[in-house]
Amino acid sequence: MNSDHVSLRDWGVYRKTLSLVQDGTCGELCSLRWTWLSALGDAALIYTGVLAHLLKASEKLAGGKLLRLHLEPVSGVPACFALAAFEGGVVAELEIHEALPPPAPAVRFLMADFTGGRVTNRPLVGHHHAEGAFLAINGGAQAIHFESLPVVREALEDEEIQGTIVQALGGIKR
Amino acid sequence: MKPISLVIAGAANPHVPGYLRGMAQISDDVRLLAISEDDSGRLDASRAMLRAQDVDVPGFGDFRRMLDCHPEATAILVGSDNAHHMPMYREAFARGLHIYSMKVVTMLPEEMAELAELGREHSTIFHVELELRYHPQFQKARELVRTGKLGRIRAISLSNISQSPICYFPNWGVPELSYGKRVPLTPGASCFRGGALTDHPHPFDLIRWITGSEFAEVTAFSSRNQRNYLEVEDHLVLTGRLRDGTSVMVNPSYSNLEERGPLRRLFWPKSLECNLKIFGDQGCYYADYFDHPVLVMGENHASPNRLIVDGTPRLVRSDSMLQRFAHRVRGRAKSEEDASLEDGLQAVKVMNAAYESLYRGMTAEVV
Repeated sequence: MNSDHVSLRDWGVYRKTLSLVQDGTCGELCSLRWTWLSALGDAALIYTGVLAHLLKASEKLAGGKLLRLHLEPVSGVPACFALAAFEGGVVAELEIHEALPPPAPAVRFLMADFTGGRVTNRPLVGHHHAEGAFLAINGGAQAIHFESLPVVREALEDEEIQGTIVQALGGIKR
Repeated sequence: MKPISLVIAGAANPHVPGYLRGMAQISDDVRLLAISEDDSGRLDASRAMLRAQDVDVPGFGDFRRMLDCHPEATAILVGSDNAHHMPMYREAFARGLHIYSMKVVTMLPEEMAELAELGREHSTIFHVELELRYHPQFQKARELVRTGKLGRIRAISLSNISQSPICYFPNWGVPELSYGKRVPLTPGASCFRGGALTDHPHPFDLIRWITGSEFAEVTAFSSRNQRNYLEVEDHLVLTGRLRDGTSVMVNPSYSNLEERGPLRRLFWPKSLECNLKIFGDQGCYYADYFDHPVLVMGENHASPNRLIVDGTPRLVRSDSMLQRFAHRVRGRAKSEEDASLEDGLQAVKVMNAAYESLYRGMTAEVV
């Protein structure tokens, strides 16, 4: 039930969003918003792992090639903001932080906006996952997710996406 | 203390009806003398809103004539389309009136320069309606940042995502009225400046106000429009850097869909997503505009028979923004939440840099 590792590709929210994109349930996709925050991420994988995987997933959802990528690295911490434009006019925004203060819970949100609707696992109010169970016992409290939030523990082996990221990183002068 | 004597010039801004509906409740502080609006339909609708609460004031089709007929006015609320603000400001400054202005003050650089000059030359109060500063969760953010409790601030993300008001305020989707002129988003584009970004100066103001640092540069992207019938952008997202090195990401879009019709009816159950995240070396702080919401569904709700997330009144009643303005006109000192003309202009500089970035496809400096 509670596995330690769910890949992004297998993550239910991504799979559901992809199927709704392909079915045309909400019209045509326009923009994507990824929020990917963790206290226990791997700083070494922020670009070639997390960012690359999210871009690859965005490309799949957008149904067109990555045309332009802008990275805004956050100084002093393994975090970044990124903007990506795809063929067909879809834009993705990505917010990645791999070193939150440890009490802050991990967050994995995807929001997809369409010409005729929206798909998201983002809560209507607040900043944390509202789904799952909640347990309070012996003075401690925890949220329980029966399907673990996806993590990225490997670099993406996709030369095209990696090349784009390396090129974008090279364009950052600071 | 006597109430201030106010006139309203223009009712084209979607926020003006809120002021009209609340006018009777603040009669101890504000006495409305008259309202002007060059669109006769809007003028009639505005006066009807006032009469519904027993506030019956004369209406004028021309704001100068209104001012001529009411020399006793001490203050003016400017609520016209953005493109018509400037003549009203000039007249108000010339007559020594205190100004309470809807945002944005203007998007045109030549008018911004003139307005800054007028502001320096006159000592009257110029208050820009940047209302998010009055919310306690954003005031807490400022306190945490300014006192160093989060350590050095590394990154801030802030959304200001709403429904589009353009169906029920069609003037809001006309580039010449909202932006001030017709400028394509990118070379040759059929979509023009004056949409979601022009409508949302708050995040830029809020980030400046919380951190005390100005924006240095921004890079903006815009997706295809969700609403293919709009002439102006309904999506824009930007990243950037403050002068103190903080990285920022801001989304000021119209991504919450609404019914296409003459009334404000939401499809997405929340009218506004305004979520703030601040990441510092020693901690992080998250806040949501709707920090004490309720869920409502009602057959007579403005968005009937639909689940809606709505806010709740605060436990401690605070003065409305217009009452605060009245207190200032009557001599109270400016509080840190009150937004000045300079604040209004600084936010617009960031927004125009974002439009430039989008047009040129590269990072733009905020100057």
